[in-house]
Amino acid sequence: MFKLPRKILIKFILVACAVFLLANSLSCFKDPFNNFFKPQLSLVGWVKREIGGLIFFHRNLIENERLNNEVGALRSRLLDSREVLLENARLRGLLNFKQQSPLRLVPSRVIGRSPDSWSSSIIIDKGKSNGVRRGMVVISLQGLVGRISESSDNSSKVLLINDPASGISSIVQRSRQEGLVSGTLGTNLIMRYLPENADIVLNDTIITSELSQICPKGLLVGKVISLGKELSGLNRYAMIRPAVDLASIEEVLVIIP
Amino acid sequence: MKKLFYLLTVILLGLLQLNWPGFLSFFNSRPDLLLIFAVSAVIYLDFKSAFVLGAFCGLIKDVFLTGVFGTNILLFCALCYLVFRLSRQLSTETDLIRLGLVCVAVLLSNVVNGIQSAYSGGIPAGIFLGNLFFSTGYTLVLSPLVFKLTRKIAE
Repeated sequence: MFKLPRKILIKFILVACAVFLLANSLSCFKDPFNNFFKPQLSLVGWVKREIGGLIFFHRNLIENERLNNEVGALRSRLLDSREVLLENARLRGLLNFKQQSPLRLVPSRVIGRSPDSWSSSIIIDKGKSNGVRRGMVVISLQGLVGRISESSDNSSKVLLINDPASGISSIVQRSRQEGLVSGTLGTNLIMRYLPENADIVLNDTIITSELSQICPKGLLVGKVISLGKELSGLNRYAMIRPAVDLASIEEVLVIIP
Repeated sequence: MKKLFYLLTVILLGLLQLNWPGFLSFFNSRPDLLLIFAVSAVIYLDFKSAFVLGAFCGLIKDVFLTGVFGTNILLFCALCYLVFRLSRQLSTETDLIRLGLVCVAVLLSNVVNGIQSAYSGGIPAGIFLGNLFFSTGYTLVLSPLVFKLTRKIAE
């Protein structure tokens, strides 16, 4: 029987190892090998993965469900934390405003809105126990919001400036032209009783007047967005976009006189 | 026990109406869930219970509105009586008739509230009509859900 001498076998192994190491360390040898074997290796890898997927189908299914649940929970936590972040920014703004303002202010949160479409009001979480009384003015960082129409021990109703029952004596900041701002139930306000020759133009800023018995003077009401003539032809009116987004207000400040 | 459920439903609907999400308010109008409940109570319950529930629904609205207190109690009682009289003349088995009854009640309620609101200050005609039709339509769209709820409790 053919028998390889031990010496020759050892030499052959040593040479083979040297060639393999050399081929593996030099990229000029390595790359062609890799390129040659790559498609086959990819195919083998793909088959292995698919077979593994079939074998561990049930385990993967359960893990997928678990991970999906985890993703859902994390998403909702992310939303919660975003909400907290936004609330934090708003409250920080309110606190700064409260510290800077010369007025005595009571910050409060909106806990409810008008239950029908024919009035515009909100319910806040501060009442008589916090010093809030009927007739007090409610503002936000952006400007005038409304006034307290009723107050109980721990909550109050605020009549918003876009309610038709609300009327505030206001002036055009630039020309000091006076008028009465009232609500229309829509998103805009209307400034009435402007004389024919009133000095008012688009984008004029409207602020509360010192003639107003209800509000402190100089509170921002909004900006003029259009002008028109009343049906009687005697007066003009101006449509005003409120400075405050009344539909999405969440925190307000009550002015304590 | 059922009466307690009805009261709880009124409170829940009232809370939902008070905290109706802004993104679900189309053209500044919101549905009158309490009125639908009062009308459905007239259809599915005896008149006395429905009348009391209607008054309670009106009371909840009055408590949270800024207008004259008691207007909605009176209005809801009157509408319950009107729907009761109408439902005796008509068959309330079909959905269309029930929708028609809700439509009459909501339109009347909106007209009364709208006139009251317009009287307290000026509302442009466009906003008045828009509010009238949008809130009526919105209430009608949601009425089958409240009807189902009332029928479930009544069974």
